[in-house]
Amino acid sequence: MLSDIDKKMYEWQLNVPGFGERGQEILRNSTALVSRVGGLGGPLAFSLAAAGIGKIILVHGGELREDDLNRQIVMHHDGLGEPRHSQAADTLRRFNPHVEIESVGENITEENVAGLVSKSDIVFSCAPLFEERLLMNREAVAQKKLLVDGAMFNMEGQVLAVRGGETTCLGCLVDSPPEGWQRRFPVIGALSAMIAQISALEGIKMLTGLGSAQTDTLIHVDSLSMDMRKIKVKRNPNCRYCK
Amino acid sequence: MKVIYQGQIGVVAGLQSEDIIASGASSLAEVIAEIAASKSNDVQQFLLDDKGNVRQSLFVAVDGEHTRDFDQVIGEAHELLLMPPMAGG
Repeated sequence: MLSDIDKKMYEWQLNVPGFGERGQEILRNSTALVSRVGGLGGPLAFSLAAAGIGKIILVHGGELREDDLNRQIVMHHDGLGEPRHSQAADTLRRFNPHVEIESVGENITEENVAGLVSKSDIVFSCAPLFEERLLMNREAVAQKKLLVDGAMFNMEGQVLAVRGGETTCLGCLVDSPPEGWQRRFPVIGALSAMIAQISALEGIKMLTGLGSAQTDTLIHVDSLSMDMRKIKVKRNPNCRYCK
Repeated sequence: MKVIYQGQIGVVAGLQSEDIIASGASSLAEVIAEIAASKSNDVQQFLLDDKGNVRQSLFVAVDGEHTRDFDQVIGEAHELLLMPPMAGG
């Protein structure tokens, strides 16, 4: 049952056909892991908080730098030099105090990934390194959790929605960290925020059953031409993560 | 056939797409090798590995479907998309 506060706060989305109180109750009882919470994960977590998900676990190591601020919109200029995870948590708590926020001041590692994924119903993979993404993918598949992998480069981005162990996973497409990927990449914040919103929507759809989540599909957006492609993908029978 | 260059390939090549003529009997691997031969070393490194094979990590889609079958004949295809993996977050 939704509380009176929930009914008031989420009134506009309760009117979305196919969502309604049932969808809101599912969101209210769901926990999302978001790693990291920079240009992509930050706006994504913001939208999850706005939608009224029950709990968000924010995972991000390191302190805020000036050159983060063109895209990391859950941070604050006066927080330069301060830990990012706590700033993101503070922003979300102030925005929606009815969402439980847990923040972790480290990035995804071999040591913490299984425990963090086990506490979550859905994993939003937003890290700038394939090593972290593939760890989250591995655990989401092994624990049969939902996963949304959102990624971008320059003025393009892509989203892969995964039902762990059932549909095409990130490892089906990328077996191991590829050569040529560099930690620093060109980005305008509006692009990473756009990919964040597509990721959030696919996650909400998978959780609640709203519409048709685009599994077995790589959604690719090129913002220079504003082309959006839905590329069919298949599970790799040799995938070491989900075979 | 329209070839679409996405991600790092498009930036390095300075090219979003181009039309090429592939022979009707060309395999996907042959087409990609031909494309690589016409490009700079920086672009080639995203397409081919040290042995001249299609790089395993390269995301390839033919007419909107991802494929790992580089032996397939694609002379009749309309669109080929080439994209290295991306992980910006």
